[in-house]
Amino acid sequence: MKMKKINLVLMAVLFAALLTNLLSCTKDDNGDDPPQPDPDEYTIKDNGNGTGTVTWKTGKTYHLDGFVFVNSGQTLTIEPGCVVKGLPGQGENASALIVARGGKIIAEGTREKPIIFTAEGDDLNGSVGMSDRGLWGGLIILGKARLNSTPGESQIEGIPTNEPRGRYGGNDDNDNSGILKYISIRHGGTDIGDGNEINGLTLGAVGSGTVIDYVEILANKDDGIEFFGGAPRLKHILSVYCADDSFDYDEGFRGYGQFWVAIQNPNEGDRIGEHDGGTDPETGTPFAEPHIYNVTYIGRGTDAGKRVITFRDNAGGHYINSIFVNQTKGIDIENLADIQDSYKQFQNGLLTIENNIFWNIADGTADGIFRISGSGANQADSLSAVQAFAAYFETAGNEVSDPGIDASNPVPATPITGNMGEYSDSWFDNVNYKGAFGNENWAAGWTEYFKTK
Amino acid sequence: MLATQSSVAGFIYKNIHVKLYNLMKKTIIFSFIFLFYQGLLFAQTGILNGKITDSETGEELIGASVMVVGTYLGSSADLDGNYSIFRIQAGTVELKCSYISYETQIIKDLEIKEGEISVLNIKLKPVSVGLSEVVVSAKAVRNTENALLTMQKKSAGVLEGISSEEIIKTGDSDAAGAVQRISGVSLEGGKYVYVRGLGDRYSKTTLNGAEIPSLDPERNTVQMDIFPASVIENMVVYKSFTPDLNSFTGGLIDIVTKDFPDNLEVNFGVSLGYNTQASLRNDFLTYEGGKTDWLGYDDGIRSFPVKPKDIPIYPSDRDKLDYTTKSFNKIMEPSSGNSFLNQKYTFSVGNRIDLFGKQLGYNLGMIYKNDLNYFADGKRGIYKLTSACAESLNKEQDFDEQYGNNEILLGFLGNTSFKINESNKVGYILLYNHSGIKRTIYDVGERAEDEIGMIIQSRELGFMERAILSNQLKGEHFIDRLGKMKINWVVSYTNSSQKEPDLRFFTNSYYPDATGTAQYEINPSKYKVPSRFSRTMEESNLDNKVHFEIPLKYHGYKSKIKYGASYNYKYRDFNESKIDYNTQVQYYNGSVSDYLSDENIGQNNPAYNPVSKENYGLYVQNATDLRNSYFGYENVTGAYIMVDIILFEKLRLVAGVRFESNKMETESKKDGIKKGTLNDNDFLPSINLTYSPVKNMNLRLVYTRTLSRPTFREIAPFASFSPVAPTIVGNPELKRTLVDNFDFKWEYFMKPGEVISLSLFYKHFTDPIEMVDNPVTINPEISFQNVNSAQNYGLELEVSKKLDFTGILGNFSIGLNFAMIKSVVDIDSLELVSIRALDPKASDTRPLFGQAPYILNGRLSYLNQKSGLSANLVFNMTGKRIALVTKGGTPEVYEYPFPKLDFNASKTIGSNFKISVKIKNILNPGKSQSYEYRGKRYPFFKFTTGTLYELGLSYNL
Repeated sequence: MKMKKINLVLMAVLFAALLTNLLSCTKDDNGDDPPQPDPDEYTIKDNGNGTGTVTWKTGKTYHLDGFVFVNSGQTLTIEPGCVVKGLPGQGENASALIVARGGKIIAEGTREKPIIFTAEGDDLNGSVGMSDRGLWGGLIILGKARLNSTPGESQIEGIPTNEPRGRYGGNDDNDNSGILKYISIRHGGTDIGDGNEINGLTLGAVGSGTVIDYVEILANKDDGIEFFGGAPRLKHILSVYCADDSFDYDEGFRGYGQFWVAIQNPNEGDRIGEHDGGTDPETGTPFAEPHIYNVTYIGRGTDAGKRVITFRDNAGGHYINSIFVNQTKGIDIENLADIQDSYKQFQNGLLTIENNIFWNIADGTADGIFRISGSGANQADSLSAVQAFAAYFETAGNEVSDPGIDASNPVPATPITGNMGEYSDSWFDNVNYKGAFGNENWAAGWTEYFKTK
Repeated sequence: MLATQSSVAGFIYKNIHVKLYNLMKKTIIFSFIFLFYQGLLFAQTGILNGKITDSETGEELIGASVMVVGTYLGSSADLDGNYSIFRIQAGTVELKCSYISYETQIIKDLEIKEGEISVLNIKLKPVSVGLSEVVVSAKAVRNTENALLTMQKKSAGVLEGISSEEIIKTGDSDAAGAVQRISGVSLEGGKYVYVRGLGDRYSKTTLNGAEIPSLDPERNTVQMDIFPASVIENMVVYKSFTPDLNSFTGGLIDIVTKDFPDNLEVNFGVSLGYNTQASLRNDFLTYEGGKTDWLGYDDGIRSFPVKPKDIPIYPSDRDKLDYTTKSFNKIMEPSSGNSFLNQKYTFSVGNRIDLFGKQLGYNLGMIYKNDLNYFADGKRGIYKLTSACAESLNKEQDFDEQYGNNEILLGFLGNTSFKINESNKVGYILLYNHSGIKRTIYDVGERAEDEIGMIIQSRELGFMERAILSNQLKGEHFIDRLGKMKINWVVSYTNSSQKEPDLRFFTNSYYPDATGTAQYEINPSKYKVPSRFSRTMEESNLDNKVHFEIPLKYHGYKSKIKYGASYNYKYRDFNESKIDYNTQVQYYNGSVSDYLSDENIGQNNPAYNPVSKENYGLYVQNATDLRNSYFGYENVTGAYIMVDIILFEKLRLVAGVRFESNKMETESKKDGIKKGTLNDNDFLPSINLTYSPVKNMNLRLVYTRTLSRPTFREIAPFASFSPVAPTIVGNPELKRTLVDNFDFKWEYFMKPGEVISLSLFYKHFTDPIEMVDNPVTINPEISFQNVNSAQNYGLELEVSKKLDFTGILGNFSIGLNFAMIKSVVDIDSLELVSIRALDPKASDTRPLFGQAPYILNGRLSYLNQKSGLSANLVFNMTGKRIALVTKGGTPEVYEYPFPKLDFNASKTIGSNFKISVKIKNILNPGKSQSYEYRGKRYPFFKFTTGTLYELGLSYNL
């Protein structure tokens, strides 16, 4: 059908060309096109050349039609207050913005003028429900930092294998993919083919030179943020109403995090944190070992059957000075027969959970909140692991107490202080409270979720 | 430019197709008129038919004369060696058969019965000096049969076959049954042929030398159960390449249809089969379909109510979206049904008649088959090696599968041949096959990536219709003036289609022991939302061939030269569309019908809030991935020349070269996707030296180069989806495989019909294609990939022997084919890196994908012609072979041996009836594809098929 059409079109074009030649042979080309007025709406389509090095302007709306790449060597600058809308649909119609390895995005909004990524059908005035998901794709950033999977380079989920701009991974942990500041990513996560929903923000092998601060992900159909390896550093992150995990990491993530907030919808959502170490092989190096301070994770409720965090496939990581509330199940770490796994990471000090507060999690006991999963070598070994991990709850300074927060107001009446764990790097703000908030709600004003709260 | 060409060609072929379709209709009517016309009964006289061949080479002797002694009645052999003598007075007669430089034969005591047709095949012996004459009895002539074995002995390449005489004797009802008697041939799934255990990639089927596509578009070989035995003249299996065979890779089966049946043959057959797993169940897995499912045709119930692209996109036009969502069929889960028995009904008729004084032969065959398959013990797993010192593989996914399948086959085959004169004949063949496969699958299991205790349930409802319509025009000519040239040509046009309307998937999960309300859910971030696909495929295939053959004298020995050309064109158009069921509120309670009910759709959903517009209920969306729709075309132009020369008395050389120029292109209908292209010009030499130290013994030394091209499926960007098995994606980068084959074979023909042979072979593959789990994807994704090279070293033993040297076992014969192959592939460097990341000492070679280390076919046959009792016990087994090259250090998935034992027996009752019994898959060992690690097997896919007991009755006029 299509080829027939092409034939017809070709013939029509040839015929038209012939006709024009015949009719216009006496008339020379004289026309300067009249200057185009600067429109407010642009449709962006990728024909393989990417966006180019270009600036998307304040007050304008940019409509993504399909996968739009910022190719290697290109820089996309997005000014404050700019709106980027993904055209609706899934499969062939899925739209997403992808910063390819070697490309850069400079998207610096302000508290007053955040940069909004949302669905085409969103008039930014209530035309779609707050929890509506899967209406367009998402934002994907790919870099050159290290992965722990072989061969050290992967194809990002959902981008067909034969699209080389979907590759990520390399050797430069300090890689710089640009700046994301005061960004709100809403209603994304459409199925982009082959059964892959896209995450709100996907960070594939992104390096520590990238600045990511003040980012909201609202109502994404898959994970809020998923990290594939790399070492990016993120502050002030809000992941709300995501249908899968709020924060997910794979392939050896080694970044930093501070002031992360997860708020789940009571009706939908899986784990708050799904933390995997390696894939092929699971014991690949460098091991996954992010440092995460001052998170506030608020779950779906005590009867929804979901879990706070799973550490699996040899994942390590550090959660310190944080608050976890309202979830059926607590934190589990995987213990497999005789091999390197997350439990070994715990034993070796690469997985620590210290100086945190838990409330309305599991049955409120140490061995209810800290659990072991996986087969274990044998029963005796499993039992000793269960006991060791449960005993660790208290020795690591964790406690069960009510911080007095919920999904509508995650800021405690007074900052929760005392029994603080030390900050491991000067990158972290040396605050003297637990959770993501002290006195003020830094998410108020510029996020969609706190628009009315 | 190329795309444009192919489109024009496709358009032209479509028109031709319509014309041929009309022609076909006329042919059927025409044929039926002949069916009831019996103008060949003569009072007190009979007819004699037969074939005259060279007793040593099996070659037909064109122009040899045969006379009824003492009369003027006689005939000469036509270009097939066939003769017919009409109006012979009934009684005992004497025949004289002669030909230049052959011994004249006098045949005595030949009985001609009134109103009947007798058959007598005659073999003449060459003489170099003088004239001689021998006298034999008709009975003796009849017993020396096995023209095919003579053909095997004297063939240029390595070949084997089975003739119509043998098929009649053994009582096989279709080609599938008969082909199993050829050594080195095994049947996959009861219908697809594998030569020497080589997979589908290396086997090919032709009809009268012309390619016909398979009903299954992803296969090279044609299912054999569509050819009724009565229309088959012979089936020949070519195991080595000669330049006259096009697109040859490793094995080729040519089905030759009967041109001129000796007399009126009418056959009705009926058989019923009981499968121990599938038949007579009241819980057979199925679903409510259409009214004509039993014929294999969908009645339209599976058509989508709207085109997916016309569905409003959420959140626009919620009213129209609600209406559209409601209009879809509500059945998305399996139900339990009653199953009956497998059924098969066949009818065939054939005859030769006089038309304007010329001979016209025809055959018609029709078949209806209804087969059931069922298992409840299926397992689908994915396992992973997580570290080198792990004691066991880690379970990534483990599903139990229940499967119900009902396949209906309708087949029609008609052929007619017209003898213009002794030197020219033409024929036309029409083949129409249609199958409808209703498939229902239910999987339940767990995955490691999910929360512990989360159970996934998955359902698949499918219906696949396939049809091929093949037209073939062929001719043979003998031109005495052009140095006794024989010309042989065939033009074949086939149109095939495949439709998969409303393929439905519905997956959900639940926590059996969860507290609270969220026990059931549909979680799109873990697995696909409920969806419906619609796929259509149209393919046309034009195949033209011509061969010229001229006899030569070289050093006084008979030699010949053969040359010819071929042109093959294929065009495919594949389309897929899809809808997904989405929702903005979770309300799944475990009932599929509740989930789809009108009360839960869109704004009707009780949870929907019209003010905040939150919690919109169920709605459909267009989820078509245009990437999965593609065009493909391929053309192969070939030319060859070969000589067949006797160099010395005992040394024969068959040598030649074939040139093939190939262009292939697949193009996704989505812009910007890389095209799959092949553009190759190949010279394919073949050298075959045969040394015969004694008359019944050959030593052969063969070198050939052959090739194997990727299929459209493999090179197209198409991705196929399954909820529990990994996605399979084509690879546009694929190259064709070249194979250099070296064979050394010793063969000894003990007696007619008996052979023992031993061969050593070596094959070097350049760029062989393997099925691999793509190493750069995170989720399992199976694709096709070339590896640099592979080598096979092998040994093959073949025995075919009658046990008539023993008194008691005189009616028994055995057949055995055993091959041992060592195959070595250099592991792809990228793959090796990931393997060695786990195990630094891992080997850098492994066996070739799909290549078994041994293949065993055995047969024990009993045949008593007097009592009409025939029985066979057939055994097949293939050693374990790689079914999937896994990612990283995880062991490869192997397909494990499936020892298959079949029994069949038939007995004639009176002169018209025959009763037959078949037991298939007596051992019922179960099919298994598994990972193996530290001595333990972990299933990738396994199931059992059950034993089939079949009782048949046929009536022959």
